[in-house]
Amino acid sequence: MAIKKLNFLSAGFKVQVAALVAFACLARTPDAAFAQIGPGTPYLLNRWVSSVEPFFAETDREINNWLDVGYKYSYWRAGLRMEFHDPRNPDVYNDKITQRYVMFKKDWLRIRAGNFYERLGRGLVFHAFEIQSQTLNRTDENVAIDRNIDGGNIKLSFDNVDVTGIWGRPLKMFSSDRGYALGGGEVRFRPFSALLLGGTFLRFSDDFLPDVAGLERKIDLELSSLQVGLNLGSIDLYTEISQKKSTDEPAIPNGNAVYAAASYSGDSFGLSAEFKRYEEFNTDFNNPPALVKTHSFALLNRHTHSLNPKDEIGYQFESYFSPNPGATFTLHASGADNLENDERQRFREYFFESRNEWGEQAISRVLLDYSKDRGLGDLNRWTLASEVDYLLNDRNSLIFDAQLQNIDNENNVDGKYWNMLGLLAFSRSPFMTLSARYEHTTKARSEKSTKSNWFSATLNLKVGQHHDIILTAGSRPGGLVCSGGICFQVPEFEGLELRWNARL
Amino acid sequence: MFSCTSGIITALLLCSITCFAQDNSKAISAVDFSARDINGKKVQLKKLLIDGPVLLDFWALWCVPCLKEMPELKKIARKYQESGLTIVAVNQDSPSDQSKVKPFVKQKRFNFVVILDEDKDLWDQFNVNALPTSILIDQTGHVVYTHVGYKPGDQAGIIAALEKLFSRKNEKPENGD
Repeated sequence: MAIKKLNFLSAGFKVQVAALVAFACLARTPDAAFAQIGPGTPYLLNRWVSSVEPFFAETDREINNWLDVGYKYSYWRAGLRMEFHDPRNPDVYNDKITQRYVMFKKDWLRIRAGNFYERLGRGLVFHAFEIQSQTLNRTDENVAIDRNIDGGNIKLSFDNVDVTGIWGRPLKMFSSDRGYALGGGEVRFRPFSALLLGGTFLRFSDDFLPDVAGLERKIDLELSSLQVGLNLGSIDLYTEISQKKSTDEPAIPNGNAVYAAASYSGDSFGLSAEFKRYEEFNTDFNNPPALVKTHSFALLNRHTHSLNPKDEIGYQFESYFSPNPGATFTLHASGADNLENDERQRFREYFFESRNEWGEQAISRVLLDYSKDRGLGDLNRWTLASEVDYLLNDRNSLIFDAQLQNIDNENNVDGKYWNMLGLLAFSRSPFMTLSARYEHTTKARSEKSTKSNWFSATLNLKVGQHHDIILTAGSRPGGLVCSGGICFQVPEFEGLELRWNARL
Repeated sequence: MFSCTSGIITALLLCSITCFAQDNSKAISAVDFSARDINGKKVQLKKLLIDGPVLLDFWALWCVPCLKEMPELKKIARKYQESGLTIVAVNQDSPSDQSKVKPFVKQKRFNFVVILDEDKDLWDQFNVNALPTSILIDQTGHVVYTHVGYKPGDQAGIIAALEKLFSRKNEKPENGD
């Protein structure tokens, strides 16, 4: 165990410490030191999450650290990311330099070599992204979602034309595997300001898949799309159609996708309507629009529909109405069905939210949501939530948050159950927020989680312009965490957690 | 044990950086950028800075503190409009929510330039790691104030930074005379 720990230190942590020391030297003397190295500027971003679960064994403590450090000089920028996870998970993230890049950016040109994230169009064909986990994970699960590409990209951006070229090897979801290569790009042309015409092409090659006889075979996958956008002032229209061609049918079938959006933007009324149709359009490197609302209330975000691009058709409507500057009403409807199965009405969600300002002192939000999702086993789900901000004076304020949810789930032993969440927070601008949070569920508990009550207290401190320190003590439930239609499981937690976000 | 020690060392190093870096924001140069706004028009930082300082606000529709901050930014935009301040709201929503951005902004009558940061280029360029993040850039292209998060009252920090900026600007011609 000691040897393992020692190796662990040499592999990841020492490099990180060296970088921090180097950075500390660069940043020692304000202004003067920067002046000595010309117009260049070092930068640093650090996310530190450390936890202790004192109620369990000694090994139930965890440190996760992401350090982004780099240097900007004139039109150049170079940087790297070091990750430090203890205990580590060698199958997913290693304790080493996980990203590095050099970039040149001037006027209409941007060239980058190394690791990068990218999105083409609305993500139908390609979307490399990162979701930084908001909840601490154990080592047998994933710390975050990272799908960066190791390669390069070039961007040319003129008045009427934008050209993007990408090449490299992306990370697969929840994996450190870069076993395939991709290359391609996008051209977006605006003959006049109201019209957008675009095209995307991407070729994916995997040389490492064994065939039936165990010999390596080459698989090529080609994705292409056409985009048309129209901007008529208050009305916007956008359509993107795409196809997937495989050299390995039927193992990897051909597919297609359609995404369309229309919106109206008025002075006190706004409306957006979107449509999706995805057939055999699942790949390891795209993220087509899920048309699922990203909620701002915690309980709703734990039970969100997860997109299945292999077989899904759906829609999303959302409208805003502000009769006066202090009031906003939001109406939302979204749905998704399977294309081929008879299992209709797979997912439906409707909600209404009212946001009101009560003079200068109080702001309230009330939300009512109904949803059903066969994918999650939810036959019916009702959620009522409210939040009130009360301003005590210019600097001090209180937040009350109450959420109540009733779920009829076919996978739950008792069928229906309740979730409840209550939060009380006191803020003193700009330095501090102190909050207490209580959650309760009547859901039948599993072997993995026997708790039905969770309580935590959190102190959030701001130190200057550069640092946020968040200390949490207590417990919180596990479950799905969803963002933009991508969901992943986070485990239950009980103990102490320290988060430190540094930004220079 | 090793990990605990290493954790403490890292914490101390970060702390030392904090202490040394208190006033560094003055020296941080904001590299120019160009991006397209929600109407497809090209926006260039350099051109916006000709009129006055620029306040970048990184936000998303799902971010409750962002939506609480934006009405305050609207007031700030109105107050400092004649001084040349431009507020650029850099949206970070996923493709799933992108179509809602323009209807939301328009119906709230936010008087900002709104950019869709589709490929996270500006997120990356300005080292953002949380929402909302406000970054004030003076006319020489330097970042003079940064604030992460929003609580009621936090807008006072932005106003103070702006007042300091404008008072400095007003002092210069007098000194020059």
